[in-house]
Amino acid sequence: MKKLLMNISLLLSAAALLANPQSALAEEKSLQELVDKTPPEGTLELEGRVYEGNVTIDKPMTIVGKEGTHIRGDGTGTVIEIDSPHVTLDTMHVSGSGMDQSSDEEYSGIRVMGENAVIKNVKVTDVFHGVYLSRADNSTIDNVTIIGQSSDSLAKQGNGIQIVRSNNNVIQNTYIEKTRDGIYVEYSNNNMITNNKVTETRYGLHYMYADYNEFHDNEFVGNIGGAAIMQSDSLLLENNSFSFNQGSRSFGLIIQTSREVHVLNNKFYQNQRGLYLEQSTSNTIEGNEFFHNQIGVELWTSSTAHTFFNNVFRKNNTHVVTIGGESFNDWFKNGVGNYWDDPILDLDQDGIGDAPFEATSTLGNLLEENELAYLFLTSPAIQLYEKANALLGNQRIMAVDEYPLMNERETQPMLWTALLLIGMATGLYFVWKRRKA
Amino acid sequence: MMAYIWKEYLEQVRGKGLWLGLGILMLTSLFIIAEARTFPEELGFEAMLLSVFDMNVYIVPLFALFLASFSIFQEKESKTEVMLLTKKDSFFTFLLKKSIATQLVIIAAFFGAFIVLAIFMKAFLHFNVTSFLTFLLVTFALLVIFNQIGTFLGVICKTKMQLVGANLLTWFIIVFLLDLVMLYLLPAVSFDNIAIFSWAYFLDPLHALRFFLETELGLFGLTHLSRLMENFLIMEPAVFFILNFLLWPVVFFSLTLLCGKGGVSHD
Repeated sequence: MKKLLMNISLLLSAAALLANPQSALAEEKSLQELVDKTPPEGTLELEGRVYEGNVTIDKPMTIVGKEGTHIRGDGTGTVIEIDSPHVTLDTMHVSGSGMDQSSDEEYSGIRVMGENAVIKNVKVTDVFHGVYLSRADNSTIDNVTIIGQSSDSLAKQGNGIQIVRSNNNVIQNTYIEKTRDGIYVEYSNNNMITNNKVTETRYGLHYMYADYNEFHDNEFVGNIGGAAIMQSDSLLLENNSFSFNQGSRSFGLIIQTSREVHVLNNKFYQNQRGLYLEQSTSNTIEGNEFFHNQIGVELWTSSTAHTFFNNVFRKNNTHVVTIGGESFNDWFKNGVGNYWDDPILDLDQDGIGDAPFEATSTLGNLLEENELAYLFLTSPAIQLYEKANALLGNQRIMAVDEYPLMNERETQPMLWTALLLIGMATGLYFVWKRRKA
Repeated sequence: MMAYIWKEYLEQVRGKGLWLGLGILMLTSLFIIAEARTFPEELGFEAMLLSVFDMNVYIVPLFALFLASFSIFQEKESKTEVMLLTKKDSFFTFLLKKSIATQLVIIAAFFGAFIVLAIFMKAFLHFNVTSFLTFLLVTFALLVIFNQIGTFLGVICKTKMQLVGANLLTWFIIVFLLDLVMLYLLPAVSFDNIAIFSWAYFLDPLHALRFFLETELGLFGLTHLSRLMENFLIMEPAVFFILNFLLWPVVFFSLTLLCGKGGVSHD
């Protein structure tokens, strides 16, 4: 009986070895050995266990993990370095890169230095940079989660996804939190960044010297700055959401020293400054919603020739502030202005206000003189300050919209509120009657 | 002590001021809750709480001042104060008991209103208990400070007209005038005098309380501040909050004690 059992067990082991030789030997070999033994363009299937890194991939291949597959670096360098084109990493957790900032190389969880890489279904934690694309064109990063170390020490860590001198890449469906910058792009053109969520970082998105890129349907919530576009031209930002970016120097989106940026149909909610434009020119701001920001749009004089149209400005403490003198921008295009959340007459019922709308304020001077003025933007006294200055003739025109829009107001909340009011009034009436009785 | 609380409760409940205050508070808060349904899901609840606080900055101090001041003023007017003082209580004991009773009743009433509002918040928004409790803590501090200022005004004023004027003036000074003065002084603020400005800013309870609430709710980041802001924040927001919460009630209680002793005539 004993012999029979032994034979069966031997047979089963042999069968397992024949069916999946690499998996069966995995426990005996290091990850690097497994990678080295996989033929070019072959597939290495990893078990749902911890593999010790670091590892370098120097041939086209696919590594597929399963639930529980964890590649853990030794904390001295990059955990997975891809030196070859056509490498795919699928389903795994990567952690433990070096954090040394004075080394020659900035370490990362995954560093891609070959073209046509695919990184998907990957979680990256406890690393300097999460995923680093360096001269890696035509790559895809899909469904990747990157968790930084802490939002209190952003300066000491790297970026979630760092893209340097890499073109035609797709970054989609990622979730990034508590890293320095969420997605950092430098000298990289024609990238498509779609449906990502970045929170608790310094800048959710940081663009430097990168042209012809597109961002769609991304969400930047609770960062120091939502997105920073710097020295980059011809970008499209469409259907993104920039919200709750609050702090003493916070903004939803900053466009600095950039041209031909099209900001289309985005939402700017609850930011200290929704959109901040500095030293930029010829950008188009179209169809966006600026809602409940301390300042909807802040423009510095150095920023000119922008066109704002079809935007909605609602319940911002100040819709528009121009700082540093007069700024020359168009607040309408082809007879279409913006909606300003202010009472405007439309007697001819053509959907356009009968008179031009002028956004006036004295806050520009105040903000220019001292940044502590931002602390008072929510103060009840600010309206009094504005009124006093208006009476004294100190107000300046921030924006002139020749064709202010008469947007349809949302009826549902109004109806809801009216019903509540009726309910409350009825309740009060009964209380009153009861007390009288 | 219980007699004081019960008497205060009956007087406040039978009066119209408290109900008017609570009614306005509920109404304005409901408008904000209705509007907050369009806020983004994440942090939308916290943003709503901050908006309610911004509205409360107008309403709560005004009603706290009126309710507390008229409560103690009535004791003088209806001679109950004299009766209590000639019985056994010293002015200090009377003021302490009266203050505790006023604080308890007014705070309980306002908290009751917020609990009712919490039902609406829970029904229509992503309710977060910690954020709501932080909001209640800040409202509690706001009420304690302004109730105590109200008590002070009620003791020092001789006529009802005087009291109405004093309440309105105090409200206007704290809510509007102090900020207006600071706004005009702002261009003169530099690195050399930023600490003085910081003290002036944060000893205004409305600033300290709001800043504490904003940071605690995660709506204002204290990282990556400019050099000026780093110099401006000489202490943690929580420290300024505690300082205001302790300082102003104690100062106004002491002032009331000082002025009240001199102002009360014993037959």
